[in-house]
Amino acid sequence: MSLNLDFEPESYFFDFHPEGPPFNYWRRQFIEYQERFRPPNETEREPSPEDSEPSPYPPPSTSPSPPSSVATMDLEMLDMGRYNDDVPVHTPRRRTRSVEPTSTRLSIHTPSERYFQNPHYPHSTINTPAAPTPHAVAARRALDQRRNAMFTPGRSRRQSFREQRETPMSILRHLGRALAPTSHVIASSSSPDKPSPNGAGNGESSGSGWRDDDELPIDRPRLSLPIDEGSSDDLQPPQSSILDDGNLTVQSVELPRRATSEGPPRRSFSYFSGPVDDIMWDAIYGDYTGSDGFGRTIEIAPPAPLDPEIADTRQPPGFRESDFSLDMPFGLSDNDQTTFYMRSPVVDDIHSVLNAPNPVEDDIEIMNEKRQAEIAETTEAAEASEVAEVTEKTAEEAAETHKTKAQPTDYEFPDIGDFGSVDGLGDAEMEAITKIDYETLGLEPEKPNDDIIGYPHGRPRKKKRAKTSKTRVSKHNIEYPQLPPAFIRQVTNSAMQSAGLTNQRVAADTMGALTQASDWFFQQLGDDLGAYANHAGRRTVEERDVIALMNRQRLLTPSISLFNLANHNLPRELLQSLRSATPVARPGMYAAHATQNPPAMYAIHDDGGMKRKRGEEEEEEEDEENEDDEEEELVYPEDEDEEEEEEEEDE
Amino acid sequence: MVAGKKPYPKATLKKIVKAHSGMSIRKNTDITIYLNYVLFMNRLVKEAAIHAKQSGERGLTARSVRKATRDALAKFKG
Repeated sequence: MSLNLDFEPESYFFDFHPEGPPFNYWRRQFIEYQERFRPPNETEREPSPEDSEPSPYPPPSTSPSPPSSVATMDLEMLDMGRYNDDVPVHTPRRRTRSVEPTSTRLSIHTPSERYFQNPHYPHSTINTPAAPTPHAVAARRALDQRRNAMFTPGRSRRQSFREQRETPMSILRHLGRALAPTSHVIASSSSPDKPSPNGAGNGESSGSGWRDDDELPIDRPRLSLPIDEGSSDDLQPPQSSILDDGNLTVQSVELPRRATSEGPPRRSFSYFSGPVDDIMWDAIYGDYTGSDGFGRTIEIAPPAPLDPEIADTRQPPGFRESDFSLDMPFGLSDNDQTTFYMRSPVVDDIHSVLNAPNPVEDDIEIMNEKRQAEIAETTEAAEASEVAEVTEKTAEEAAETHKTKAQPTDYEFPDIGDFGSVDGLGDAEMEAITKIDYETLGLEPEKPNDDIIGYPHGRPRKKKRAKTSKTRVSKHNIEYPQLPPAFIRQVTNSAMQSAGLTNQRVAADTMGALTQASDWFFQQLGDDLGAYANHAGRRTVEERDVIALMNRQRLLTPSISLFNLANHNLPRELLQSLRSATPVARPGMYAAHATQNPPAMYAIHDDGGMKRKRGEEEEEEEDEENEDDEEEELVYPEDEDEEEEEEEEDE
Repeated sequence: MVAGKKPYPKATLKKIVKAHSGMSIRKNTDITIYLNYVLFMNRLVKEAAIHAKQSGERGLTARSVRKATRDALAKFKG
């Protein structure tokens, strides 16, 4: 009688609850009981002083009372294993026994007793030698599992065997510990008029015996799953009450989507407490599986809780409030819920739904009014800025929204969230427009709008800017257009092919970077060419300026002519036109000049090949444009040119 | 001869160079300018690809192009 209180599985779980009394408290209680009910032949064994101290191990059971439960049986078996040999009485308890060598005891024991020698080392090869038969292995494993399940709370203090004790029971115990601080509410919120049978059984049958004796400081929370008392039929998945009506495929598809909104309220704890909740839930939701109050059959989705009486009876008395119920604050989520439910394509039933009083509807209307006001303001502001240029557009839109206003059918669906707001949008914009120009109202007839569900009629369009400034102004105050992106892309693609990157798409941001680089390049090129032409005293950029530039860019070397480059990089027709347009640049020209150059050229500018090349170029220009009147200008001013380019590079 | 497809936007190119140089462009100069631009883009893409490969990116990224732009522009400074 005294021992069975500690071998209720639930008490085993939650004796060692972190908020409850510590393990040693219960251990001391246990030892106290043992001492109290000890047979007189063992009374010489007094409780050692370490019993009052925290001990990491459960105390040995010394009572030879008949096994009242599995745990006592186990304990007695353990004690058989321990006390069969002549261990002195004053030997300290199992703490020291784990330290001692157990070889002497191994030699004494029969094989059947060996399994129970040291429960602290169930897998130790010292205490448990290899099992003789597979049946013995299985039996040992079963016993170990049972012992683990029984003694895991006490032995979990040994951190070194934590992996070995990972049984389902310990996992459940961890779960119970994790859930324990949050689950006090459940025990208190169980319906008082219908107490669950488990709670009653727990309170009276198991708890009363020792509670009178011990005066526990706190009531132990009953948080475990009562396996013994409750019928195992109650252990059903929570959604079983919905899935009852056989239409399993549709609902199994639909349920994950609608789980939060229309599933039963959170029953993660309450469905343990008996069949009461299921019955109530089915009584309430049974009509939805058949037909609802409006006479239509609903298979997939029960409608929104529009009916007050349904909404009232929907919450069983024993439930606590969940997110699902109607008691949630009105707001966006409510609005969404209604729109979600009323999206059902059954238009015939909407009228009947409308007849029912709808508490959510008012809020939707209020929200719509607010949105109308806001939209009217914004669209008014937007319109006021664009009145001058887009009067035709506004006229068009005004006509359109006028048309939508003239449609009376929209007002028959005031509580459908989307439609109502759509209509409000149209009105708002219409008002905003008609405030601005009345005279253009309805000038041109508008085509009928497409009545796609959910697509608003008068949704405020995003108006394009009248003109995007594609031209920019250079430093000479001349507007110039942007390079077309297709051109840049084409050049880039050919460049990528020559660079070895084949078949690769150019990303948008890369194109932006390339465009920026091209812009800078043309700016620099224009500056250079203008400087060259200006230096030559011309008002026109000519091809020889470009050739001079390419010389300075080291693109044209004595071994690489312009035509070489053009051959490699330009399409054929451009090559033709280049050849015809510039008879000047004939292949091999620069090489010839380099050989023909007098050494005086090097003597004059003996500071690098760049100057030498410029000298060549000037020579060439001299040669080919003899009739040009700027010839003498081209001949002499080497140093001037140098200075100019120096300052150009300094910029 | 690709019929109907212009190899490059001649007028746009001329306008751009004209605006930046502040001078008019003689006829057929833009072909050479276009050649110069193609060479510049070749160099830019090549160096950008090298940058991208060094930094472990795939293909041509905007970051590598921006890195290579500075060098390429410096190389093509007259």
